[in-house]
Amino acid sequence: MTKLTRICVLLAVGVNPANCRGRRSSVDAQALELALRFGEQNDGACVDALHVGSPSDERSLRDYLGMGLGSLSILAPEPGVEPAATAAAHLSEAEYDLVLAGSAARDGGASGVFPYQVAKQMALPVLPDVTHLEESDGVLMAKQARERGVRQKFEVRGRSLMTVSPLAPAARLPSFVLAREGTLRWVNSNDERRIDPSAEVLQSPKMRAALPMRKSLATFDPNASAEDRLKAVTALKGGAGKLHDAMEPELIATEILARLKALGVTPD
Amino acid sequence: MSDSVARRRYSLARLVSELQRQVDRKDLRAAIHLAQMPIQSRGFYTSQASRRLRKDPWARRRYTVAASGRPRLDVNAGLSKKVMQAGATSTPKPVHRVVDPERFVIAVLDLEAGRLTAADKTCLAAARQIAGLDPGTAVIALSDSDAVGLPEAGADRYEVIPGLRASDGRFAVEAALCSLSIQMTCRAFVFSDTALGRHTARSLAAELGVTPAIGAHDIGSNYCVTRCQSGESDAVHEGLMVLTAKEGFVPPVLSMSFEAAPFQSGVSLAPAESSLVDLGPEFSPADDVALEEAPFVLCGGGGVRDWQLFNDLAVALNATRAGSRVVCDAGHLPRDRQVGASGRSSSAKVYLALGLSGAVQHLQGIENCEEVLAVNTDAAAPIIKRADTSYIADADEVMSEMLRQLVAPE
Ligand SMILES: Cc1cc2nc3c(=O)[nH]c(=O)nc-3n(C[C@H](O)[C@H](O)[C@H](O)COP(=O)(O)OP(=O)(O)OC[C@H]3O[C@@H](n4cnc5c(N)ncnc54)[C@H](O)[C@@H]3O)c2cc1C
Ligand SMILES: Nc1ncnc2c1ncn2[C@@H]1O[C@H](COP(=O)(O)O)[C@@H](O)[C@H]1O
Repeated sequence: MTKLTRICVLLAVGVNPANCRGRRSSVDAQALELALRFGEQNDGACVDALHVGSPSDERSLRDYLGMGLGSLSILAPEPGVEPAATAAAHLSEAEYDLVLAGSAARDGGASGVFPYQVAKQMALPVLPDVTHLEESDGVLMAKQARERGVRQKFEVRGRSLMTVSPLAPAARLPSFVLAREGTLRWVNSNDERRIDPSAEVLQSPKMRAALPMRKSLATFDPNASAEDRLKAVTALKGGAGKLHDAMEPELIATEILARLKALGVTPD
Repeated sequence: MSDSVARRRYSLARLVSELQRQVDRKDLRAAIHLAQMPIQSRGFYTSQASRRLRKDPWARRRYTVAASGRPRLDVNAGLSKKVMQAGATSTPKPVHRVVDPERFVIAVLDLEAGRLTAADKTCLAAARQIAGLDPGTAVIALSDSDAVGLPEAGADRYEVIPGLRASDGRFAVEAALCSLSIQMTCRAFVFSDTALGRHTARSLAAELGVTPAIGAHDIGSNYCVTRCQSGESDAVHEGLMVLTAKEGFVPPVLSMSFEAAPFQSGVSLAPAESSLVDLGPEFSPADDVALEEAPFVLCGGGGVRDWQLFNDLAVALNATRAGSRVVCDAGHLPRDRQVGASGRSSSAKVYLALGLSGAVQHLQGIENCEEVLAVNTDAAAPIIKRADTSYIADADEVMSEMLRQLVAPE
């Protein structure tokens, strides 16, 4: 990929779980942090941000401006159209090299699907759970968080969308002056008639008041014996294993090292 | 009233209902006989104060004599014979068969070295929960290589699709799964609740135009439920479901077996050029990895005296250092290394605890560790109960011995 110049960060409004008021979403702030750092390290990279929402979100969006983002574009959602389709229509017009989003901004099962909807409509590949972004010799490199602290490296050769992991570097705190001075720019979405007509609003799941959430003590098979159930419960806990007393430290050390090697956690 | 009836063991509730039944039948002789039976022998006594029947916990306990000569509670006494013989005999599990299934539940597995991970088992159990024992519905396990243990985990069919778990953002997997849902009646797509599983679930949901259910905690044959809005509400997903299941919330498959017969859907991944090139994993020094992510944690407790030795050992082993609160309070390790209720939690593959007592507050932090090894001078320390293997020895001696063997292997 040639020199990366234009990044757009998708910013949602998060919820403060204590008072249910809006605030910046922490993982989106981390996505913005990655983009801002990238912009600081690479002259000429330009960072834009986009939100699809209503005027009531403005207060929370100022937190992002406070991080040093000069301006933030806001699109009003079209009635009957997925917000992601509105975002995608705007983004394809602007031709960004890289679109960044948070991995999940809401709690609940439907969270995190927004970036995928955008990517699908723009036909962009998605790289999930990114923690690091850098450019060296005109090549864009990204690191992805994998299980057990591993970071998978990717070379990015074309336009793409990345979601940022909560394991990415922490976001800087917003400054009040920057938050006040930054501009929230309402984009008139009526100008943009490129919205995919098939992108109707998804049928949303039915909501009900939360019922108590219990870990399952039942078993799938009605005839499972007490023995099976006992095994199932104890198998998860592990423990109460072998006890070696009166063993020489030398032998203990050998045995532990052998076990660590067998489990593949120590270098050979 | 025959003796055989009288000799039957009654639970408290059954005894009372049996009495009631005899009274209802106006069989007073039987009722009186029943009431006069020596209740203590059945583990009951009559409360002096209320004259009500009470359970006698002491009478129900069984004691054995330990090697030390002191009486010990026999914890196996209350369990059925079957439990005590666990493992001794294994009867073949009944096999559930489906012939000519019309509807399908697709389970996409991650696998680790050809074996089912815990998340994969949960995924299959969730798929099983949706399919139930309906003879017309089959659970198909899809993976990118052969797996062992599929029949016991709940798969009716399986298919190996090479490249299924590649994560280079090509959408080839999603396209293949989409074509599967056009080809046949799919009731649900279930993924393992891992980063990769959630990624594919979300992108398939976007492709299919449905709302995904990530981390469902209640799954039935035609619905699944996720928690949202800061725990205020439940979202009930119906129709074609794309989900991952929350671990521990799906009833496990225990005593049944399934066919796990090969299946041929005919879908394959379209080769596609991707602009994301995988350059392989990068391992950072173990000590820089956050405790939550670290695969191998070396944890010191109040029993460790030589901290230089501890640090050297951590470097030699390439382990992530951690400590108990006592250790962090004393300043041997920084506060962000504290594991436990008021520190961080670890889900390490191996947790090596040296000179650590294993107070409950600490154990809370290692709930999700896979294997715990402990070295302690006190065989009664709580960590010994939690550990998979424990050694009664001096921590410093074991550490210096380990370091010696690592530096100069013979
Ligand atoms: C509200 C609250 C929150 C807490 N949160 C946490 C928390 O997050 N994390 C945490 O760790 N603790 C926490 N604690 C403290 C916890 O209760 C214990 O005090 C602490 O975990 C004990 O640490 P320890 O096992 O390292 O030390 P000790 O209790 O001093 O135990 C030392 C152990 O080492 C053994 N030992 C001694 N000498 C040797 C030797 N030479 N070789 C080998 N073994 C030896 C001893 O047998 C003993 O088992 C909390 C307590 C409270 C009240
Ligand atoms: N209304 C929105 N406007 C802009 N970006 C959004 C919006 N909703 C979600 N996103 C992005 O999509 C990510 C995942 O959001 P969600 O699918 O809502 O959990 C967020 O972290 C944002 O980056």
